[in-house]
Parts: sequence; structure tokens; C-alpha cells
Amino acid sequence: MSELEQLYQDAILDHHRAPRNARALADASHSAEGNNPLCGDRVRVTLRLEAAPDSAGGLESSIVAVGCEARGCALCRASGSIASELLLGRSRAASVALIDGFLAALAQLTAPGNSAADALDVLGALEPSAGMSAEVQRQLLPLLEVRHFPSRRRCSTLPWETFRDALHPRPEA
Amino acid sequence: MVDVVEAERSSYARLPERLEAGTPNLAGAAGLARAIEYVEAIGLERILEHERALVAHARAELGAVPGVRLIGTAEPALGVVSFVLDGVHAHDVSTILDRSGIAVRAGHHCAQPVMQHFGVAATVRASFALYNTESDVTALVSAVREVREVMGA
Repeated sequence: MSELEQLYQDAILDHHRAPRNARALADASHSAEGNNPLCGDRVRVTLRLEAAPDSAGGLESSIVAVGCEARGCALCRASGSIASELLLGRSRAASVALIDGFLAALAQLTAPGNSAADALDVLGALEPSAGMSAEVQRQLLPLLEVRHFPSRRRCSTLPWETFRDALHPRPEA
Repeated sequence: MVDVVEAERSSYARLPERLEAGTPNLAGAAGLARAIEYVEAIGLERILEHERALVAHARAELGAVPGVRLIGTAEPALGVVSFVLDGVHAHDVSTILDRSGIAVRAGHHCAQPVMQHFGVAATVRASFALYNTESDVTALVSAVREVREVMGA
């Protein structure tokens, strides 16, 4: 497959045509909006987190419902859809870890000198801290094809950054 | 700009040199002069006619592609053709065209109020100049036809 075909492979087009969780939750506990002024991509995420007892006898906050409305190009819509599926059911901590893992993987794959680096190897190295099972890694692979298209990277990362903002709001500057 | 510079006082050149600090953009000035000569040797009217013909051809051919909506069809047309493709965001169009060796601009073109007027988020914009040819128009139209195949649309 050409790089273009890998960028727009079936997994991506499927999520673009039928984005999962593409709605605004009526009873969200967390939300955030992300915007790329250069191209008009816009993402709005809503989450409902609930606390439940964890295995150590404490309380853990988990994502019990998720909404992701991504307006814009196919890569942004697909990325938001995939992210929403992977984050649903995850604890807040595990969600932030996964988001950071995905963003770190893309950063590594696009660093100078890494054009031949294998995406699965990079994901595998991040797996312990990011909590990415083999299945999760498989689902992230199509999103990492954007590594060969520098002008489109932000299309792919915007939904993830927006989810991160919802889970860990940045302090107002 | 200066004549003699000392710690506590300086003397300055006469006008106009007094107002020109550093080394002027000499290469730029020489290049500009040569560029003007080049354009005038071809002739601005001839260039205008060339661009108008390409734009007219592009508008006619692109407008005939299923799913294409031309944005901004007023006359006289100068140099650019903007369009949207049904079901495919402008950035996806431009990435696919790029891989066919065709460079277009996609986005709101620093003209968000115009985008709002036409009710679109972004458009694809092809621009034609004196160095473009009819085969560039043909290549553009043919590539746009293939975009929907790539997107599985």
C-alpha cells in the first residue's frame, strides 16, 4: 500500500464515515473544546466520570460515558472516534497515560532520524507506562500513519489533546 | 548611516544615506529589476489572457465533476479557482492531490467571513500563473475525480 492508502485505510475511513460516540453527553462531568485555527478542525468532548472502589480499597474515577464531536477532516473525525472508544471504561489515570502514550509515540515516530522506526516497536516500548494491550496498539497503528504527512499531524492529535484537557484541565494562563 | 562613531557622540552621513542602516537588500533590488524586465518582456496583457483562459477551462471542467461545487464564480475571474467536494473535507482533498504532484491550498485562506458567507468550513483553491499550462488543468481535474475513490466515497 502506498503511504496515501495507509493514511486513508479502511479502519480510518470506517471511523470517519461512522464516528463512534459522536454526541454531546447531557450529563457530563468533564468537557473540553479543541480547535485548530489553521484548518477549522474543531473537537468537543464530554465525559462522565464516576468513582468506584478500586482493587486497593481506595476510590478510582473512571470514564463511564463519553461523547466526541469532531468537525473537520477525515483524520480528525477518525482519530476522535478511535480515542473515544479506547478511553471508555478506563480509569482517569489510565486514560491520561494512554493519551500521553499515543502522543509520545507519534512524537518519536516523527523525530528527525526516525523515519524508518517501526510503529509497533515504539508502541511496545511505551506499553508498560501507557497501558496499551496488543489490541489497543493494533487500533492505534492506523492513526500513526500520519507520521508521513507533517501538515496533517495536528488533525490526528487534536482530539487526544482535547480529551487530555477534559481530564486534566490546564490552569488558565 | 554613520560617519564616525565614538562612545559619547557620533556623526552621520548626509541624506539619504543617513536614513539607511546596514547593507541594503542589494540582491533583492537586482532581482526585482530583472523580474520586472522578464514580466514586461512577456507582456502583462498576455499573462492576463493566459491565466483567464486557464481559469475558464478549470471552472468548466471542475464544475462538471460530480460532487464539486465551485465557490466564487463571479466575473471577471483572476487566477484562482476555489471549490468544495461533497463529503470530503478540503484538507483530505489537498493531501490526496499532493500525492499526485498537485499543489493546492486548503483551508479558510485567511478569509473566514467569506467562508461563512458561502456556508463552508474550508475550500480547496487552485491558482494559475504564467508558468501553468492546460495539462496542469487536466491533471487537476483528473486527480479530483479520483479523490472520492481514495476516500471510498
